[in-house]
Amino acid sequence: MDNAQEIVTFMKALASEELRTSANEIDENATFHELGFDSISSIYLLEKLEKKYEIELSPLYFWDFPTIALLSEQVKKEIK
Amino acid sequence: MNTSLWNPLDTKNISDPYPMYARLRKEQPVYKAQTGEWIITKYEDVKSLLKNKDFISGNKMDWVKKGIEYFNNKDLDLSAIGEAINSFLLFLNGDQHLQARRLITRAWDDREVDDIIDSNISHLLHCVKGNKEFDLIEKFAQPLPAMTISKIMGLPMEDYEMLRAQGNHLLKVLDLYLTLKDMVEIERSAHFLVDYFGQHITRKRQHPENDLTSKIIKLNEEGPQVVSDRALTSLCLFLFLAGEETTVSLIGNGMLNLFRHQDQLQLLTNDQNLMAGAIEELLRYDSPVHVVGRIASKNTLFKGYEIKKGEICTLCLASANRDEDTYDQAAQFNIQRDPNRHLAFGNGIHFCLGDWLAKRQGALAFSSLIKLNLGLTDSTVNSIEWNKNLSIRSLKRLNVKMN
Ligand code: HEM
Repeated sequence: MDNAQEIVTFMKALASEELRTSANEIDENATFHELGFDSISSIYLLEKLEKKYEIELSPLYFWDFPTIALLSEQVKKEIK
Repeated sequence: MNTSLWNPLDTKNISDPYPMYARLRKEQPVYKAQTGEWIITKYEDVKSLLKNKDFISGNKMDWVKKGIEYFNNKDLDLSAIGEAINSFLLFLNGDQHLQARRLITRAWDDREVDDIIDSNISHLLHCVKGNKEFDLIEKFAQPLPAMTISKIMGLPMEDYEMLRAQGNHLLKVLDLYLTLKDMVEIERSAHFLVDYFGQHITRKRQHPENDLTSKIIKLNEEGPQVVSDRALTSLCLFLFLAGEETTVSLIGNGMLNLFRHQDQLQLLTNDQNLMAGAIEELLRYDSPVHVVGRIASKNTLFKGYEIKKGEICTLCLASANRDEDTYDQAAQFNIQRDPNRHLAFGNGIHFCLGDWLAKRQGALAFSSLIKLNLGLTDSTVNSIEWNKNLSIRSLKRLNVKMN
């Protein structure tokens, strides 16, 4: 079972690819907005999470859980 | 912990969004949601923004264009969506909107629709004759508007069911929050429908008849030509779609609300002269279109809030229609309500172009359904299921029995 830290790592990797920075530089407590995501790249992010963990996520989660740390907690709940 | 007042996708709000609206109206009628958009819920505010020229349509189109570009870089082609919606009347602004709207209203000179609707209704009711129970959505509310608009637009009658299903996928593009899965599905139907309506227009240009599509083509060609061929396809496509799920919702939500208010149903059954008023009240009380979007074209101070250029306003028509400051006993369903100036068809320059057709179709549908003396099946009473769509609120199914 994936724990929250693994999900954080997965999301950081995605974000680093998307935003073309190194994963180390990505702050899991910064908002997606601050990181450089928007309402379009959010779709991509959520889709990757859905595929990887075989879950369904509300498109509103991007805003309701607006940091990597918060969203990974939520994803963890959805997996169960 | 999510403390937002705007949770439209929560299960409880999908089945009943009115408490959420009521709280917004009371606590934060102009609300900056977590999504960055402004949620507007009071009647006077919604109406004034619909009329405000600085708040323009087409925010969805901009978003889709950006989305197409973004996913193109990821080797996913969504370009048919852009093609399909490029001239949706709803999204156009300024002269482009005015000209396209005038083209349609001038071409649509034949408002004699009763015979068409009556014959469609008889056909559909004939099909369920003898059934003890049937799904009113699937067997009646969905096919009826599709059959009617197909006839009006001169589309081949054997295709209406397929066009309706495809159209419903495409219409999802109007919804507020989409997933990539939605986008892919929308793309597929967009592709199909752009081809289909493109061919329909070619056919009608070669063999014009006395239908709306032929008339639009002819008027446009008589000039000065206002619309390109590409735009014509999108324009006609929207005309086909605009009255589909909205009318399904009027008929479905309408029957449900009549079943739930037996006293009002009795009133209407006994006196069909109340029908016109009943339709207005059904539109107000449980509006088919729950939200429409606008984008601020410049910085604006609205009721003390600074709405910045480029920010999106989500105008909740269905909430406005339940505003306690506008209506006496707003939460009460009363088919004799007077006055009843609701916003179910919008307001201002984008005011619904098919309101007359929707009301006529609704009136004829309700009067024939009422005569059947229907009731909800026992299993339906406690398990009403709604589609998870925020812009148009409609039922998944409505199982009824013949009494
Ligand atoms: C109960 C049924 C219906 C409801 C509740 C409804 C509601 C609406 C609303 C609220 C708008 C304005 C959207 C906005 O301001 O952003 C609109 C626009 C429109 N509707 Fe309807 N509609 C219905 C049926 C129909 C039908 C049957 C047609 C016929 C083809 C139609 C054609 C249109 C068109 C073309 C527009 C765009 C007008 C413009 O942008 O200038 N509608 N409708």
